[in-house]
Amino acid sequence: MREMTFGQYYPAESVIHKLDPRLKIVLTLAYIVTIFFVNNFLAFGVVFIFLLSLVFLSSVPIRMILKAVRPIMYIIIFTAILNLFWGVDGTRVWNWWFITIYREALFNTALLMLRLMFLVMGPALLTLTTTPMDLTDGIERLLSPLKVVRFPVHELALVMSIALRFIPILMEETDKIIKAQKSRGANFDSGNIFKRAAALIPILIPLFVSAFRRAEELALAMDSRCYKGGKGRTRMKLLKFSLTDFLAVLGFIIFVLCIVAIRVHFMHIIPVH
Amino acid sequence: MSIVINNLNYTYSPRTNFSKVALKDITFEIKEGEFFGIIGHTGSGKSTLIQHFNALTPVQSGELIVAGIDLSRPKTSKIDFKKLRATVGMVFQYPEYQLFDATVLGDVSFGPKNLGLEKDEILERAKQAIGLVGLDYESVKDKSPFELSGGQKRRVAIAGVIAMKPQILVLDEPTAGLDPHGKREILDLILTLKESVSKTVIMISHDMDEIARLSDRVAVLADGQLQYLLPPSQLFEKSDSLEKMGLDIPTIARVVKHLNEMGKNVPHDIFTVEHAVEYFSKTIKNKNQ
Ligand SMILES: Nc1ncnc2c1ncn2[C@@H]1O[C@H](COP(=O)(O)OP(=O)(O)OP(=O)(O)O)[C@@H](O)[C@H]1O
Ligand SMILES: [Mg+2]
Repeated sequence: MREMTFGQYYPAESVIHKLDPRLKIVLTLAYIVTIFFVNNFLAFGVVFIFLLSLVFLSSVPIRMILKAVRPIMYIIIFTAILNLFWGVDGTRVWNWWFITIYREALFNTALLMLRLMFLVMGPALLTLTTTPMDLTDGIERLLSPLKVVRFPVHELALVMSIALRFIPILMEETDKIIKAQKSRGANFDSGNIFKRAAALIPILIPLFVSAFRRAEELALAMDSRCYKGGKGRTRMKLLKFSLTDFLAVLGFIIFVLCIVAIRVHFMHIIPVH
Repeated sequence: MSIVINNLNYTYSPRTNFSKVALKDITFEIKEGEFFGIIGHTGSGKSTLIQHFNALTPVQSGELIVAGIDLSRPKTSKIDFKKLRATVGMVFQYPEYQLFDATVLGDVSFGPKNLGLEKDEILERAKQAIGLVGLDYESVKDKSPFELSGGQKRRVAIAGVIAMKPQILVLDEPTAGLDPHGKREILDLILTLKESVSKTVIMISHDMDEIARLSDRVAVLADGQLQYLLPPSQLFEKSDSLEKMGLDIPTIARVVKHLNEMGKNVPHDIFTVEHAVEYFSKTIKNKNQ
């Protein structure tokens, strides 16, 4: 259970890990937008090289990145299959009974699969190289202009980081409660659907009770340390742009320029109708 | 009704980069009718070990036979879990956090109900269990477990386990977080249970005084390995190596050790208050004569 902790942060000392979280979030968003502009194999080659060098720089094992893709593999395959039979004109490459596959559909499907995969890998690299705390910190800072319109940015970030912090704890708790009820003879995997749902009650009630207890304790602890919201609150860790951050921006701009250049000059690498 | 453990190993999240070896080559036997203590520093694998005893943690490698039921690897699919869990009762650390029913009676009946017993039998057992843990059946049966005090909650939780009439009772730090009075009550309760329902008791504890007073034999775990398996009288002579493992010795054993360091000649096998009182009053009497 413990290994299923949310956020899947991979601890290491790398330049990517040390980048400003705000910058990483913004660049990841920009990366996602860029991916939508990529529409040929050459450009995907560039994306591939770009991502590979980032992974190399971050010293995160490639295996970990691929793991992020696995949960959505079914979605990718499902979309790909739908897409494959969607194209209705062009050059036929394969024909069987009423099923016809066209060359264009084949290319589009391949591009789609690549796009989805690269879309997932970017944010995966972000969460692998940034602690959940840094991540919420970054989001809070990025959203801070919204404070002007009285949007509770700080409170939202706090709620988020507390939630993240408590996911592994509650998982462990669930594990314990399940074991305790099992040892009292509880059976969770037989019987009809109603029986199974009823079998969850002895797990859910103690879990809720303990979640409320923890929430109350946390609130008390925060209160007794004079926490009173975001107003006037200073920070222990100040985020500052460094040389590496500027280099990262530079690198990213070069990447985007390559993509744009390819889109403008090499449209013909695949035929688009 | 014994427990035989042979070369038991356990690793959490094996084959990942955060794998954690929790048990290494554990071999020993717990005999029927024994009060068996387990001690060891935090994270030494005590809880992992006892969770094997009713198959909450599957055997990864090695052999484990509990009350004649073989829990070892290839036979796992054939384990009769109902029978096993009726035989081995497990009281977890802070058991009061697993209470869930609207009434005390409902919660205590949960175990017997899962065993598929008759209605009358369930009620009878629940009644008996609530009485055994020292609560007044009539006044608590319809109360919500959540409105009881901490110590009472723990009793209800223990009643929920003993209502299944386990022949082997396993307790993971049953006195953790209780005041001295509550501690004594729970320990007395455990002794009563040993006389009546559960002939074999296995108890994890960090309190060496408890362990010294109650155990017939004590297993010492350190970093997942069995370091010692001795009766308390022999174990607490090894105060130096216990200290190295981050473990204490009973208060009285410490007093005796100091006295001996001061040049007095006190036998080493004194480690409970009762024994010490007896010994010293005898020595003083002898001196006065
Ligand atoms: N679910 C789990 N996933 C991964 N590692 C675990 C898990 N449970 C325990 N461990 C690890 O296995 C080791 C043994 O844990 P265990 O709970 O058996 O120790 P313990 O002796 O009961 O400690 P304590 O006295 O604190 O209760 C510890 O290092 C712990 O971090
Ligand atoms: Mg433990």
